[in-house]
Amino acid sequence: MSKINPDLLIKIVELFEKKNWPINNSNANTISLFDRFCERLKLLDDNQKLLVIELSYNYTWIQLKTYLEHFYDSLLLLGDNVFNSYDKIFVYPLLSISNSVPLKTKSAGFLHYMFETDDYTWLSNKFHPNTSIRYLYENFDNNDSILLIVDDYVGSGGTAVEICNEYLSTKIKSGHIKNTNIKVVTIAAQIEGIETVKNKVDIEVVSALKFNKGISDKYFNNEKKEKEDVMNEIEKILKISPELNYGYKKSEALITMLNKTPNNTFPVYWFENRKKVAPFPRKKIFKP
Amino acid sequence: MDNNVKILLLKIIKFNGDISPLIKLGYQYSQIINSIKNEIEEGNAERQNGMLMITEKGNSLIEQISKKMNRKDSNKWIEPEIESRIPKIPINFIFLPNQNELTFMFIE
Repeated sequence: MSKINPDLLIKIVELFEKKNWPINNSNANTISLFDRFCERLKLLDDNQKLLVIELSYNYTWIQLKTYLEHFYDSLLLLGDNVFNSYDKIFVYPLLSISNSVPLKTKSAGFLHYMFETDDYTWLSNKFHPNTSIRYLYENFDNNDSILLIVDDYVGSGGTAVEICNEYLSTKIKSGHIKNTNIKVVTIAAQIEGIETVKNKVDIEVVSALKFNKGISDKYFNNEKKEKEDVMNEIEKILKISPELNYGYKKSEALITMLNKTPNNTFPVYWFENRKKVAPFPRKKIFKP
Repeated sequence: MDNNVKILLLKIIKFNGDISPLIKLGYQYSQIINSIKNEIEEGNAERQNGMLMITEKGNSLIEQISKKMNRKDSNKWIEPEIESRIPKIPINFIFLPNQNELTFMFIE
């Protein structure tokens, strides 16, 4: 365990000011993001601390107030090609259709619900939000319909591919939905994930925010090797299991949506246990 | 802010020292940064090229507080570990430390 000195504290403050992240706690009963960030850095040596601070400048934390705005941006990206060329726009959540009731509350369900509750007619009056396969069977026609599958994030693309495959094998009256009649719409996506979905099922992922890999797409040659060595040391200190090194499927993501971080993000940001608190945890395990 | 803490903070700024004594005293990182900002506003510290430095005013404040607290000889430059001070306990009291509050690392 190393120390935190005033110079480092100032560096963290500069980062927080630049990112517009809160420094003071809004709720006295919880540990603030700033304190959690400092606690995480305290476990690291000087080089490791500086790498985390440097990477954090590229970190995206989508908070509730901008969450839906970014989603609208993604919907707008669909453009006239979608809004004018089809008569029916079916909107379904990016969830497995074999479990019609998901085991957990998912972000896809939340965004899907917005089509039921919010007025999206300013964008189009052709939306048909639904979850029923029967409804698709009876109403979907490749000549006049398109299916939008919505969620907030595509990481490695694995889940999106699986679910797209489920929809591709779903029967409709005229046979099956064509891949050109499906689009995945997300708030944010890893470019690698977008490419995986394109390559495996030939379906476009439409996302307002697209991200490269945090280290391997940003640094090159020796610099890249140095950063990777430092990140390896960090993950060793935190005892990250190999399948999550650099994030799930080595996604190297730097993103948190609302207060939930995808496991594609570098674990230094989210990995926590009872004794070690993380700045952007996935589940709150730490016991103060 | 109590003089003990004030002088500790100023010395931490002066030597770019470890802030963990302040954390152990119960301050949060965000409170410490606010206190540092106060010191900057009061002219006791300043930022130069991303580094935090003590000013002459800050140095003389350290002197003043040392005098006021009657610190002499080594006490003047070795900061007491006030964060490690515990309340006095009766002579017959058997002290069992809480495993979760040990100040040293416990290797599993």
